[in-house]
Amino acid sequence: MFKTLIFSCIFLLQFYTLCFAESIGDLLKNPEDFSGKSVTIEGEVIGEPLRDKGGRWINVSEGEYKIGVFVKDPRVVEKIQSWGSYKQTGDYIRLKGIFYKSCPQHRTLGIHGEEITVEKRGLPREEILKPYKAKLAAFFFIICLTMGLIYFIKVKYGKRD
Amino acid sequence: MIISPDRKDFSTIFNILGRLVLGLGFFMLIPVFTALAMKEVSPFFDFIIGFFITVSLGLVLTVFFPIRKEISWLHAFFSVSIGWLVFSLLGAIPLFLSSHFFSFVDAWFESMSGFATTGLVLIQDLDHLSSAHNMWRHLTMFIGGQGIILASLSILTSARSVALGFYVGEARQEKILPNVVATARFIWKVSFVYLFLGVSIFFLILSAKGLSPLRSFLHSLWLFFASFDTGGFTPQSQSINYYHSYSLEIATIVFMLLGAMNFNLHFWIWYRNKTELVKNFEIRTFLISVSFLTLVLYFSLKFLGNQSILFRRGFYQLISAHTGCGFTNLTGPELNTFPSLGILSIILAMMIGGGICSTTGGMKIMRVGIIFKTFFMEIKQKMMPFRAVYKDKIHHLQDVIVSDKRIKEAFILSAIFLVTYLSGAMVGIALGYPGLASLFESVSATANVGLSMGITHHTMPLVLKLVYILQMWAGRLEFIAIFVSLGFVVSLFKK
Repeated sequence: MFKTLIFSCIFLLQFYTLCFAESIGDLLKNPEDFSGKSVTIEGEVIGEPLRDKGGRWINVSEGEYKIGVFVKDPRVVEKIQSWGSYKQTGDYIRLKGIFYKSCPQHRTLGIHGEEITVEKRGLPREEILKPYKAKLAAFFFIICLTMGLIYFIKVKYGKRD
Repeated sequence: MIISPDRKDFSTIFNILGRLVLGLGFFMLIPVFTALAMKEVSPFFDFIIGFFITVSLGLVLTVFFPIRKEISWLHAFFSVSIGWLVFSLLGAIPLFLSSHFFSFVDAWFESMSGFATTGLVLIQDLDHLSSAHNMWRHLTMFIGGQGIILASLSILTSARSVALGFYVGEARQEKILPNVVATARFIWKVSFVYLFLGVSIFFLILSAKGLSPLRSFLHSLWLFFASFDTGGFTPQSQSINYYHSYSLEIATIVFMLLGAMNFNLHFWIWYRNKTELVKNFEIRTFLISVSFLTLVLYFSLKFLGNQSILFRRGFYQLISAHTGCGFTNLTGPELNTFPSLGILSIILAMMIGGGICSTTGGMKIMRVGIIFKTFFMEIKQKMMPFRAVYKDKIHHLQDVIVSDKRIKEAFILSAIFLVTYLSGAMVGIALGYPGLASLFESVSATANVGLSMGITHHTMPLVLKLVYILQMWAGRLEFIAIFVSLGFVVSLFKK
């Protein structure tokens, strides 16, 4: 009975750490509470991985809040195939690492990432041209052309003030 | 006798405005070509619409409102003050069409922030913004920072007599060369030399970080616009922190400082006397101010055990604030974790700003220096015999006596700035925001800095958005052109 209870607790704890990620907003708002601790975050990778001494930086966004993650192992970074930009959504990842309020290596706030799981691959963003834009452009083109003609006639044939 | 404008004056003002609006329209072609080059269809239409509206308005104004009077200072002041409002409204059109703003006011806020080289943002999902829109956001800072009127002046040769009116209207007090048109051209020349230098340096750094050549080039260009024109926009929502690059932070500090330096001083150092850099009153005042505020920041962070972040991050915010740029290498709301004394030192740096005749806002270091000089002069005067007349000198390009006129101007403008800083803070407090954050945001808007403690957000009340727009506009033009224009309007009712 006691063993079952312990195993259940361990299972639940594992399940918790696997399923529940810390919010990036919480990390940024309360850095003291998390500094030096192992955290798990989820979010979209924004921008390309950036080189730095001994590793690469990736930027992870959960919407309003973003955080830089330093990853030493190049194989971990290679899992990321697309990053967020105008034409692309970035891979949605789940990342485990140590959060630092001021990391000893870089003296900045961030996470030193250890494991990355790609939850959802990034996709090309569809460009939707709203129909009213083409109509608006045509309308103002006509106005602009008319005004241009009036201006031209005035300059060419009008009286000088 | 006060001059009161009549119908002919307004016709002339609208005509000048029309010409300036036409100029702005042609600047919009740059993002149009960017959209074409990057194959961004929807942004292409956003800017084509913006271009047609702007050019149409410019043509309407020039066709229907002919120049009916010889252009004078009255027209110059009016055109400058109305011009900045009109530019920001027109500049907001393509931004609003991008669907990255919740309302047109938000887009207007962003546009005014760009033209006024502030850097406060209300844009949503910046990391997925098109290159064309990013080009426009950063270009507004270049246009605003260099002075759109200044751009016109450099090609305008027919209105030399009133060129000074436009020049002063855009909050520039010192001519570099005897004639204003030549001065305007020199400022553009300096800017293009630094543009080449800045883009090259940033490009090397970003390429080394692993950005593709095209992205490196675009980001370098935009970061140059934002740093040299002390604007503070960035193409990524994490500001400079996105790049995680120490060398980029140092390079941006250099260009922020160059942008905050008096253009007159650039001219002197380039062509006349390099030792001016160490003798100049503005530079010395700036060094004293930075040293003092760094010390305050250091102690405030030390007592909270945060001294490790002083140089990498504390000092960066301080320089960014003092030069009016607004770049940050902090992560999200990290600034809010700074102790109050540290925040206060950043507020003071923002209040003071950079050099006269530079792209920065704020009270300006020259005026603050003169105020302190006057204080010491007053003490010395009291220590002298009763009938003694005492005048002190400052070294600004040459030795100049601290005249009563200079003192008066320094005190009046500094007082107006202080009143505006406090008024904006009071509006923030009245709307329920914390006092220190309200003051921080108000100073940031008025001094055209762009650092934020989080109040600037799309959810903030409409009133506050409008107040900050007003502060950015008034702060950029240093009030005088606006007050003179208002005076002329009031005089209409007294006729």
